[in-house]
Amino acid sequence: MIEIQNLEVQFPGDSGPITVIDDLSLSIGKGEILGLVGESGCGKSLLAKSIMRLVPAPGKITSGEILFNGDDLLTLDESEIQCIRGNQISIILQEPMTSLNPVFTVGNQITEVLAIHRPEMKKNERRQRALDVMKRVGIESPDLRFDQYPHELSGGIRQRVLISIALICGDVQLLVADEPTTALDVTIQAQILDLFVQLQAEHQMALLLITHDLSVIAQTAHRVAVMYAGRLVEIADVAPLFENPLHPYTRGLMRSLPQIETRPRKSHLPTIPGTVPNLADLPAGCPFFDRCEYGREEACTSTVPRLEEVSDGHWVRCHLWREIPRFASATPTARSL
Amino acid sequence: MLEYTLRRVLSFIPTILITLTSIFFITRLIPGSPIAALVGHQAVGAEQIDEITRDLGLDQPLLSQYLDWLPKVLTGDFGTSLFYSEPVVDVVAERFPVTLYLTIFSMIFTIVIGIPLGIYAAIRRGRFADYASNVVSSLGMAMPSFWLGFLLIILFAVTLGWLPASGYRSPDFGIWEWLRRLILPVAAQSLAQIGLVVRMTRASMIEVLGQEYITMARAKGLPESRVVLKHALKNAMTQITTVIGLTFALGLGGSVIIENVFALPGLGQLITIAAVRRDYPMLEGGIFYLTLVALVVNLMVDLGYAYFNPRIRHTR
Repeated sequence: MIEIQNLEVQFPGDSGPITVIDDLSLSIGKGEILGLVGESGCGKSLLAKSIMRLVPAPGKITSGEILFNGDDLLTLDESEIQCIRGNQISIILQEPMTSLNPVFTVGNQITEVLAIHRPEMKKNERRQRALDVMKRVGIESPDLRFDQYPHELSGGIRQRVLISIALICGDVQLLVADEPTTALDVTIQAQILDLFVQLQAEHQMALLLITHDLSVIAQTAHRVAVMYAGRLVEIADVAPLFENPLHPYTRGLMRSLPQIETRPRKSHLPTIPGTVPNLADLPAGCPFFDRCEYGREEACTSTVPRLEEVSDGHWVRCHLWREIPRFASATPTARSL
Repeated sequence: MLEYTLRRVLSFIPTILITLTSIFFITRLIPGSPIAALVGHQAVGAEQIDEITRDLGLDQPLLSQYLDWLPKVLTGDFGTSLFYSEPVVDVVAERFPVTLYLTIFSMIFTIVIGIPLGIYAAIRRGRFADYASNVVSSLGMAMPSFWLGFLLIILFAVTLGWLPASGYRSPDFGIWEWLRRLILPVAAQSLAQIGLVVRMTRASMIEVLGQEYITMARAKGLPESRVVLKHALKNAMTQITTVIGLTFALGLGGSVIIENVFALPGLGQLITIAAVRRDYPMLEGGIFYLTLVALVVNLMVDLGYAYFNPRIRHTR
């Protein structure tokens, strides 16, 4: 249903453009939930915004295609893309504290979407629809909240207001959710994820779920894509990925998951050493080389690895994936989560 | 909102008391005395001067003059002008509209031109229109208004002969007769203000347009015009209102200069003359009413804040 092909996003830098998303291809089918994971700064949020052509200036989508039901979103004119935004493709932005406009009431900000996309609806119908959706995403006493301003609400409720805005039109085909549950406590988080799964099942809504939280992915997603330094490094169905992660970065992420231990912990939580490389100054070879426990000079530092299909639907971007030992760790697998 | 308004109005009381007190003492600090100005070059004896001084109560200690004066002033009685021999309030009432027209028209002109220009510069940031507006607004701000006034007179009154160089007619003479004498003063007054408003609008719009809720507004599928004029502008208005309020207050001060350049019989001119003549009652009354206008405008600015920003409205 949505197919991103060879997407490249650049920002101007002091010494020439910086490629922040590099040659990224990804597709999400009808009714599919694709989890996208990666550290902060790897380009996840930017990818989310790119899909809706909302790359913040001075960034620019410099090449690629984003096919949505066959149309390339990148070549549509402004009014056509406006028709799709908030209507067929919705986004839940990452920051619930700053994504709502402080000077308008919650109700105004939710119903505004209907005013644009459903101009035939009457004012009280819009209000009713908003109240229904607010209730559905777990906002208590929605008619009170409707007339409140964002500063009067907690982070969790703001997050749910954002979700209401994303879902208000009723036939969203692709929902891009950037850390939608980070601001919520665990019970609400489960409610919201359930709601997503329900919508996906009922309306065949596709969901791009961006998160730091691998356990959320394991619970909800069908497929997982792992991003590092603006590139996809691994993509696979949930079960194979959790059972046999191939990319050293993916392995590192999984190893950093805290576990419930029966015996006292012997050591610190494993982490991936180092930080995300500076995109303006990427090394010649694999961008993960500096932090990789398996990396070898020459093999890894001469060329950028390409995404290779390892088995059906399981792709990895690593020169050495054949050589590194099979992943064996006490980390929970998809089944045990 | 009502409670907020009431609280703001109540806060007028101490402000007015402080203002009156400062006016009184600052006026007395001006070297020279009204007597000298009153008698001018006439040959008068010391006795006569003593008599006038007593009549005016100027022989009393300053503090008792003040205590005498304050209660009267609080009821709106500023006494009689030493030169016009008319109640101060009447003279002020006669001059007041001129200043009011000048400042209000300048304000409207400033808002109507400044805000849209600032928005446009913000949207076209880094392009030609932005640079052009930057140059023009800097120029407007850098030019002293009296000098600009003279330039306007030279061009439109002397060279082209389209508009009168100076003077004033009340609207009773016909709208056009009234308006055409205000065009140049208003233009001279506004230009510097427009520069300020353009720059402030541009800066705060740029800041607001970078906020996440603007991306959110776009993500909802709103047309860009609505994103800018609804979501961004209402947020930027808090800052723009501040500058407009400040500009207005500056404009009241500026009217003193502009009224003298264009020979407009307004409060500014009245105050200047009263100061030269040490006409204490006149000076005090004139400044007080000018201050009162500034206070009311401040109140309007504060109410504007509350209107544009619910967070202020809800602060107890």
